[in-house]
Amino acid sequence: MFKNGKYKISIYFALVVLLLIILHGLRLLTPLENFLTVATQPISVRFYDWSSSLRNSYSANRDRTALRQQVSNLSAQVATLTVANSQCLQIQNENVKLRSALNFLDTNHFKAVVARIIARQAPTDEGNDILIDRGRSDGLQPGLGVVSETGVLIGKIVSVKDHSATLCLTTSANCQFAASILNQSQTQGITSGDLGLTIKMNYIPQLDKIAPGDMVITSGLTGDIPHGLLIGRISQVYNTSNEVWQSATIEPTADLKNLTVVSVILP
Amino acid sequence: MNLILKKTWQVVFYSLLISVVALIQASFINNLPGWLQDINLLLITLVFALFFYDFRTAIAVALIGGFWSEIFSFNFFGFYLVVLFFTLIFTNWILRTWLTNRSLYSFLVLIFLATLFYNLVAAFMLYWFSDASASFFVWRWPFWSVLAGQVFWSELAGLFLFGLAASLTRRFKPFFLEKN
Repeated sequence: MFKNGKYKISIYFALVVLLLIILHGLRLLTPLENFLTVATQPISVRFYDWSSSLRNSYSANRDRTALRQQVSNLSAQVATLTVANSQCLQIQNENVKLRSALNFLDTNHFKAVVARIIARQAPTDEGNDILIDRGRSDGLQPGLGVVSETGVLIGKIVSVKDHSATLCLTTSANCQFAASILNQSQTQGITSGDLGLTIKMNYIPQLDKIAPGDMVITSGLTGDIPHGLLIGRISQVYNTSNEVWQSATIEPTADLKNLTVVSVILP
Repeated sequence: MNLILKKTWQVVFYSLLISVVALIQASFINNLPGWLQDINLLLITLVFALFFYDFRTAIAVALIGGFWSEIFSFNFFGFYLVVLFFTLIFTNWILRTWLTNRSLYSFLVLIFLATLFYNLVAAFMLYWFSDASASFFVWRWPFWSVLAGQVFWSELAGLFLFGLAASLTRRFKPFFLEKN
């Protein structure tokens, strides 16, 4: 293993190491160690500062990269959460509407079936029909009134299948209701949709006094639709002296474009 | 007289150089970020001294560098001296028995084995004297990953040092025997 006295040198080396350890243990090396520590402090500090600045710049770069990565991750997360939030809001909105519908139904002691809108016909001059997820199996039949979650009449069932039903909106031309104006004489008339936008009430006797702002409700004379359901509010009155009847335009109280949950009032 | 003075200056110069290396290791390299702190400059210097000079010079590096390391050490006194001692004995045996001191490959193999041996001895001593309650270091993945990193960077440093030495001396230049 060792040649030419290297064995001896190794022994001396080991002895020196041992001696240093013993001297340190006896604290005889402490003055030397203290001196060397103090003497080299300025250099050590300088070296340490250099390495610290290197470390800091490395950390800064690494942090920048990490932050960039984090921003990217958070952006993806925000996108996901936005979708989730939108779904939550939709559910919350639906929940509010359902609670409102239930509240309305409980208050008025109506027997009703709550349904969700599953399809809507493209708007035409005739109006636009709506398809709901309840049908004959749930007790629905043509002619039943349909109200929004706040209890405003929005239409009536026109055709029924086993598990779905089509309803026409109050703004549809083919959707007619016997209505009553909440004025002094409780004027009766018939409403029908006008261009899918508003409701027109015809056959109002010329002598009856009606005015914009008057509420229009169902009169209870149309099949299975109960009395007192709000249809809308009169926005304009058409009255010419040579006519037998006067007419009025009714502004629907319910927002017919944003319906998601409706209640079909059972007889 | 001049020879003695020259020798004395050489000893002082090399002692200072080794001290600076030990200081750089303790105050600079050990505080560097990432993999840079895995570089063991003192060990590379030890192998370099053994390879390019002789066993005596390497002992001087081990003693001076080891002593400086002890001063800045967080381990018990004697840790670095003992580890460097065993590493030097082992490396010297490998060099004299198996390798030549004129080849880059020998130098790289020597650095690889020295780094491996140094870390194994150091880890074993720490396990034995300080951390016996912990799991045996051989079964710990971080030990091997740090060791792999250290071997890699030490080899790179060895390449650099060998290139530097080869450019400064004629010792590693190829030579051919010519037939007259």
